[in-house]
Amino acid sequence: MAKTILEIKDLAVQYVTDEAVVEAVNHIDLSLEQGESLGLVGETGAGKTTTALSVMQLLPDVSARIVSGEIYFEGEDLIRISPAKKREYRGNKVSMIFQDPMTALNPTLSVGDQIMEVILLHNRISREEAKNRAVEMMELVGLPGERFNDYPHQFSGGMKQRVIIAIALACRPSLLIADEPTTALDVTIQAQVLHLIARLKEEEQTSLILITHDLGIVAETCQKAAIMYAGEIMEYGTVEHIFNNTAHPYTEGLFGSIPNLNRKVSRLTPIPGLAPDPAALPRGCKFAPRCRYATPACSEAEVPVYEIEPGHLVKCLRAAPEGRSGDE
Amino acid sequence: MIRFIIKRLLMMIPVLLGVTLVVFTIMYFTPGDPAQIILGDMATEEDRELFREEHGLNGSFVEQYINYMKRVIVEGDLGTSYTTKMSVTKEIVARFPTTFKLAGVSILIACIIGIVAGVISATRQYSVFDHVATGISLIGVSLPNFWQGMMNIIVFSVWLGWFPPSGFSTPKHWVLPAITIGTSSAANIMRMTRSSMLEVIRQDYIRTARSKGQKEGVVIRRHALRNALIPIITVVGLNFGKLLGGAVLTESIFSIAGIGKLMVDAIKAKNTPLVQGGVLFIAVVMCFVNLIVDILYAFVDPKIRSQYMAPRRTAYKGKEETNG
Amino acid sequence: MAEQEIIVKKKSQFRDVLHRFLKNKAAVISLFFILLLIICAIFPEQIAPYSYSQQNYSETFISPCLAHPFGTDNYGRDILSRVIYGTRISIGIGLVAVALSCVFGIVIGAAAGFYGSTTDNIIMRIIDIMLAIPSILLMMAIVTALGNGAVNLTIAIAISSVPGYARIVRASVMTEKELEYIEAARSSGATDLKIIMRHILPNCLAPIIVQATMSIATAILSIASLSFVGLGISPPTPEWGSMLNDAQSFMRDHWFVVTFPGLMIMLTVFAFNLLGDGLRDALDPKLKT
Repeated sequence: MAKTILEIKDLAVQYVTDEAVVEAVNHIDLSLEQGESLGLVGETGAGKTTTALSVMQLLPDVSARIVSGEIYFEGEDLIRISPAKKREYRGNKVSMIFQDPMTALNPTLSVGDQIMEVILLHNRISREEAKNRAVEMMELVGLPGERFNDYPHQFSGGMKQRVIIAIALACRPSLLIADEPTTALDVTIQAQVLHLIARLKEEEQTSLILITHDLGIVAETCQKAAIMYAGEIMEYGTVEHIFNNTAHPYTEGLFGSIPNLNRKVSRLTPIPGLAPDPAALPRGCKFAPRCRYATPACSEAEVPVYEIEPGHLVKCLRAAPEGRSGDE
Repeated sequence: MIRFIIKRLLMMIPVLLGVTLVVFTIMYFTPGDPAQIILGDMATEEDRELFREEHGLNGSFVEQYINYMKRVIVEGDLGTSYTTKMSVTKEIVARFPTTFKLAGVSILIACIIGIVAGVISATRQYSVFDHVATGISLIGVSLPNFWQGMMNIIVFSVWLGWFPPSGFSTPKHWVLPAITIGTSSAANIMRMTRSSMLEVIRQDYIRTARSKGQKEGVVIRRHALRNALIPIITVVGLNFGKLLGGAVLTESIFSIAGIGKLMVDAIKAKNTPLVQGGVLFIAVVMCFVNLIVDILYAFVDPKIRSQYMAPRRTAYKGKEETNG
Repeated sequence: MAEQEIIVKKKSQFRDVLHRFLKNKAAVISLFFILLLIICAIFPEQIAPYSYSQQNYSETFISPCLAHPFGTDNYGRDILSRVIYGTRISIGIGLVAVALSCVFGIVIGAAAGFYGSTTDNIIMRIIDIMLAIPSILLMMAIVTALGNGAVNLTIAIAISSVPGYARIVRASVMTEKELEYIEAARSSGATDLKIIMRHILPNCLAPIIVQATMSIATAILSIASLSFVGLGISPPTPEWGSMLNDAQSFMRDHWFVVTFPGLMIMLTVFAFNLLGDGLRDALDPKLKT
């Protein structure tokens, strides 16, 4: 069995504002092995980005609060190490690619400087060497090295995302988190960027957490998938588990909302209703109000997680061994 | 870049012409006969006629204005002060160094205090420091500076005897006027730094910088402050221009012979050539400060820099936006 | 369900603003202080303990005490009473001048922003010219030309604060007019005037209100500054700035003659600034800093 590189245990994060307490992530468990790639899927506001930022330890410190849990990375709890130690990990062993490349680069520094910055931070090398490494990185992600001194406003969205990928991979991290790396890009560029991430990940044996709301991307790039809803992981397993043996009604709903060429359906079946207000989550199963299989039991108590086959976890009463959901 | 500067210098000309026209018009319609005021009641009608002749005060409004502008443009002569009989240019040149020194010292101190306090306030939003600094800066903006000058004299020179109350000879004399003049600038700069920094700190690229493992201090200085500088530079330029135009009332209170006091006295005495010359001079200084501000933008922001390098019609628009 | 929610939200927009404003204690206190000043400006006879011109040569330069909380001046006049009467000038002229410049600034700025090109160019160059002259000197020159008096002072202050409004309104109108709903209004046959009045201006109200509040503060400072150099309001009319001017020669021996009038200026300006900040945060929470 491969080495476990990341282990999230019972993580819960809240955002506290003047008006309300928002429960963004509610006691999730996740683990990732070396070289493995995990797709984190869910609607906007499901807590995907918050989970990622918790791993990076970059939650906004004014409003966000980690209520419970541990995040073990290479055996150390990232939440409890010193700030200096956290900085050592960030950008070096754990990197993140952000959602919107248009705003993620500093407009007043040249892209070369921005790539060089992360290299100089984590390596004891001269500026000259760092510059060479930065140019190498630019070429690796498909940007001409001569553009080292150009500024972000001189690049297109897709090229900026390449710069950001170069920054994220410059120190050869063992874990890469990509937060919807393609949503802000044109469709044609999307595939290019995804392939680039997948290729570099293969070459460097990097573990990957890919955050997306697109199941198709997960099927293409990931081995495992976790389906998030209202800050909880509803279903977790290998891509085969999720796609071929879909167990959670929410996952089912997600599949129902995507057009599929192989199946003959007259119309898409969207999930009815809206995601719950995270400031006032329902009791019991968070998905119950929108679930077509919901029973009174669903809203009564916290739903346990069932392992329906090795490595395939489902948080739904219907997955209980006895299958009692329909009867009562 | 050179082309941009030349273009901006050319654009100053209509503004300056407009300034002279506005001032000339106001002064023309100011009641009272300068000949009467200057020469006094004892002068004969012939004396007054001679005075008017000498100072180009005969003829219609248009004639007078054209005569005045001819002298200014062709001979570079701003006229003669009614009261001292000295050339206006000499009067201004004699006073300007004092005003310039005072403005320079004040703006320098104001920048240091304002930017440091603003950055700390923004990085520790809602902390005790932030509340106190914001409160003080709002008081600073609200202080009438002539009153602040008077209170400074009462407290620091009458009661405590630390600093002299008037004059501008030794550095010790500079302290009270510089504090008085610098307070509102420091407050303005602090407020702008704070709000600009708060906006920048929320940007995605700050998160990117942190995700690299960069130290917080470097994130603030290298990534945040640099991007927050444009509006700060604007405010600094605006305040420096204001101070160079003479901290009008403060100079009077501390009896400092600078441009501001010169202008107040000239307006009160209806010393038209001096008022016109002085305002024109101040307007030129302000235009230059604005030009320097625009050039500084280019150093800070590569986007503006490339606009200046390749002058398109959008270059001016971009500047307008950052000003507004 | 969702539609109902949207309707409810629209109705409560005003209440949202009010709610956010009321939560800002400093701004609420400022508002009360300003209301108090306005009451003082309307009923000074009832509020002031003495008349503003009542001289008493046996009681000159009395230090602050129960009978004269702010002391008396060189003519033995009660400073507190004079300060209370002084609100009349400061608040009165301040409000009128700001109202005037607001109207002119909106008209000019809206014209420049809406019509663009030549109109915009001419107006903006004139504004550039006005901004190139330090406003205090411009005001001084205008008052000297027109002569002393409350009306002329108001005109001078109004003229010199027009450029500020014009620029703000122009900027808002320029962004607003590009939006699709203006296109929609135009395609339904609305005239320019109607589009500006009904659609564009209401949507740039927030920055205008904030600018108006803040510029009352500036106007009060200007009134005081001008009176301080002996322009504008002539004695014996009590005005804070001219009180300071009169008292300047005695300040070394009697601190209170300059302290209290100045403090009133500061507090009033401070209150309007705080109110402006509060209104900005309440009207546009996105701008909150």
